[in-house]
Amino acid sequence: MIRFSSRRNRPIERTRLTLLCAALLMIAAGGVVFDVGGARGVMSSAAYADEPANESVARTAEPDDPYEPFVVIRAKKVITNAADEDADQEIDNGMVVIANGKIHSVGRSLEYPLNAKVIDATDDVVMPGLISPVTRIGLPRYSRGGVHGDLCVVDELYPDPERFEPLLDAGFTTVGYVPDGDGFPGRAHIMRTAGPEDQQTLLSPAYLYFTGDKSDLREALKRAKQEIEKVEKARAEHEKKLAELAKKAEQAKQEAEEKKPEEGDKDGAEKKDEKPTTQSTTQPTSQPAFEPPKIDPALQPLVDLLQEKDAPGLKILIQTESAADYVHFAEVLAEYDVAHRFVLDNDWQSDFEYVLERFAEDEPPVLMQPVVSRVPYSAERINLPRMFADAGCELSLRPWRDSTRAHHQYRGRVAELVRAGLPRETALKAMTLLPARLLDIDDQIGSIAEGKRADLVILSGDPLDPTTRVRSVMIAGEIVHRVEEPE
Amino acid sequence: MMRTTGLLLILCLAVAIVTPVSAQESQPASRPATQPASQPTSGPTTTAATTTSTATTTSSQAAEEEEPDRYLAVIGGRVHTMTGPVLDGATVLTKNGVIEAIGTDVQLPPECEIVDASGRFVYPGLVAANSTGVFAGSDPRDRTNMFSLPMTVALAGGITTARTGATAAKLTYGTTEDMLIERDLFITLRYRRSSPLQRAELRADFERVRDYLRDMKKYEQEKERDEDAEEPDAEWLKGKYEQYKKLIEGSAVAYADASSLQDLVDYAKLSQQFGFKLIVNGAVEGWIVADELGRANIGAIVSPRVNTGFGASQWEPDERYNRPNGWTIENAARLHNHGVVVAVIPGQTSVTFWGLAGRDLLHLAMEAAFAVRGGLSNEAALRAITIDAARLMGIDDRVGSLEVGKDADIVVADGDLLHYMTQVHYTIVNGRVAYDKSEETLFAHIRPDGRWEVPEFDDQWPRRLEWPEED
Repeated sequence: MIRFSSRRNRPIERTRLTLLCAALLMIAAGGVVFDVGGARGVMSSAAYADEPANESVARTAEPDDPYEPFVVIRAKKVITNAADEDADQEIDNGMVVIANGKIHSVGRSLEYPLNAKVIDATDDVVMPGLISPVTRIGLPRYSRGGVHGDLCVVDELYPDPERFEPLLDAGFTTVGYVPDGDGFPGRAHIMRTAGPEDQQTLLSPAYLYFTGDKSDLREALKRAKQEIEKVEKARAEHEKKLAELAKKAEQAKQEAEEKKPEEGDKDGAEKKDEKPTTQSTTQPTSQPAFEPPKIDPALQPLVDLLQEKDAPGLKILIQTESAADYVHFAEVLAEYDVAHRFVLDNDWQSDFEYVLERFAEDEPPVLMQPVVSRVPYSAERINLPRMFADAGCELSLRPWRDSTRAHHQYRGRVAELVRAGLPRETALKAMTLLPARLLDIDDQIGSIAEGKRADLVILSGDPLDPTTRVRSVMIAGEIVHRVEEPE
Repeated sequence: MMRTTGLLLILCLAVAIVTPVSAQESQPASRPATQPASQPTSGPTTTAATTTSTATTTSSQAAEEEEPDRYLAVIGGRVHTMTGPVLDGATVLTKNGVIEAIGTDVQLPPECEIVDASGRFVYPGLVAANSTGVFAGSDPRDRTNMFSLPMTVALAGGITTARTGATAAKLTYGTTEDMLIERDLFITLRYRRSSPLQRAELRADFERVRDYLRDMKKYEQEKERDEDAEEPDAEWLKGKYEQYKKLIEGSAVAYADASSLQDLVDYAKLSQQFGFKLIVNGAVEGWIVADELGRANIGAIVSPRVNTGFGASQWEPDERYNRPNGWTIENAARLHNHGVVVAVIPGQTSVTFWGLAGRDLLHLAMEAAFAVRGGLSNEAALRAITIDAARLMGIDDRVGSLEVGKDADIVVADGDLLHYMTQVHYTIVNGRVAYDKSEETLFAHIRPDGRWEVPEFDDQWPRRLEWPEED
């Protein structure tokens, strides 16, 4: 039996009894379950008693695939970025237990099967993989205009094993691939940068991406609304027609009833009678079903958004280049209520400060670039991401430019924001958990928490330290990429 | 008997006093009904007060859900109304972006934003008869960057309304609300000597439309006598013909770029012959034929300092001509004296940043001062950048002067606008402070307290040519 605990100095007498009970219980439970499952391992047990040991045993008892070996990472520090505020955000000398490509448990000392593969990263830091939520890295330039809600980037993806090499080097495990073009070029495809092919897609089709000006947005939404009106109009007409038919049928019935007594003259009356009778007999039995007019597939996602249909990940990400852009778009969105998020292109000289108050009124999540800007036409430097975070917006970040270089500089740039006053925890979450939430995939990735996918990055030190390098990247519980040590 | 009548009188008085008070209590946000207005605007003010009070009573229930009324008052300044007298220490009260009252004893509502203009000069917002780079796109509400530097700088120059193409719009900083004034200000004509074919075509088109209108009139007269009268064919009356018809009927205004003597004379003749209203942009040599332009009722957008550009200019006076030619600083004055409605614009109609005291949109007021140097009176120079410019564009019902019922576009400057040292302190557009000198980084460092001795204006036209006596 293996024990391990970081709290070895604890006076053992005090907890001896409970410890013994717990150990016995665990062995019993583990043994039973493992017999059933036919696993090859023997469970190790918790070394101290004040943790709810029983519960954890019950949890480990049924992995999805009992033959799948466990993977354990022991690290100097585990940055969990857990959504739960009460959970540990950073665990020194922590460990992550992974089963089946998913996080099984995270903590300071955990039990795992004997045959588990242990990754020794005791000099390193483990954190959730970085996310590049809006990118076209490794895809060719391709442009189109207008509204193409029926298209998705997945259609233009061709197999390219080396596409994600540079991103893996920089520690990215997830990308949101956007279509290229103006207006609504299509829907995004959110995927992992490596791993088993059948598990690469996280969400597809995902969000709608918008780049354009006010009139483009307004026109697209107007057209979508017209489609809805078209269907409603057709439905109203159909109902009117049904009502008319019912009325006619009733009339015919009445007429038939009236004519029944005078069956004597058959020569002329029969022909007259035939029409209504056929109608009255056929209509009620086979009422024409409503066939709604076809909605332009390119507009379908916008129609769904306007009708507030529940579709995972369906929202508009609006590329916003300046404060004026925001004012223009907000004007259109006040008219058309659709789920949306703003992607702010805060550059070296950005004026989003002017609309901060208006923007942060409802405290919406926002996607920004890790750039410390200057106030336009002045030398004064401002930390716009920090201002938006302070104003209550859930801040997500993305590389400041869609290039390999910018992806490599990502952590450094975020560190610059932290130096300029952004809280460290906010910055770490803005790189992992919150972009995942923005893309509606936070149930799958974004933090090291039980049940989430084991897409992790192992770093040589603190992620915000400029000397830190990426050592290796894990996707679906397997090390898929190792960065070679520089000579 | 006497006692009863006295009691009755007292009763009447009491009723008379009580009723306005109770009316006031029911709507605290509205302006007090018993309010003496100033002399020059007493008529309009009192009517405005009564109408607003009735309006609030009728819509008081609906108003509860809507936004409260937005009041802003500019107090204590020397108010240049442009169309009325100059009022010292007067208050301009605005409500929801419209001027509500002007006078020396205007009572302010309880919740009212106050702009202190005591010791300062208050003007209507300036109107730039031509501009580039402030608004963008065919509809300025769609693509304009309302936080842009050109917009801020133009506001710092006191401009609140500008024209781009055939569009007139407000410089609403930070919002597109109430930005657009008018999108089809005029119909542009081309009738130049340099393109004779175009000239001939335009002339023929005008004649055709004129003949049609004449036939139409004839037909209408004949119809009364003869029922079988044939109506003139109007199938062709589309597109440009329709526009020319509007011009001849007087429901639209024509606009043309013309600066040379010949072009100006030609345009004047054309507009006189077909009887349409014309605005010419440029009119550099207009001073030579000012009388003709005046007779033709032409409006002119001129620049006292003609943008001579780099190197030799085509508008430099050329002695080889055996007639007056070229530009002169007296252009605006001479045109004005002959009854031409003159709007003044700088030589450069965009906001540029390559030098102070320049010729760009920031220096619109200074350009008007150059017109004064050329002989225009102070009042006419100010009118040329406010009400006359608005009149040219047909938007003088909304902007260009401080009058009750007009848009609340107000400039507060620390001196006479025509003085070169004057700085604009506040520019108010649609009843909102769009520019505050102390808030912006542009000019906040120049005379930060904003107080300085207003220079006495004694060196005016006609200029004293002798040296001042020394004693």
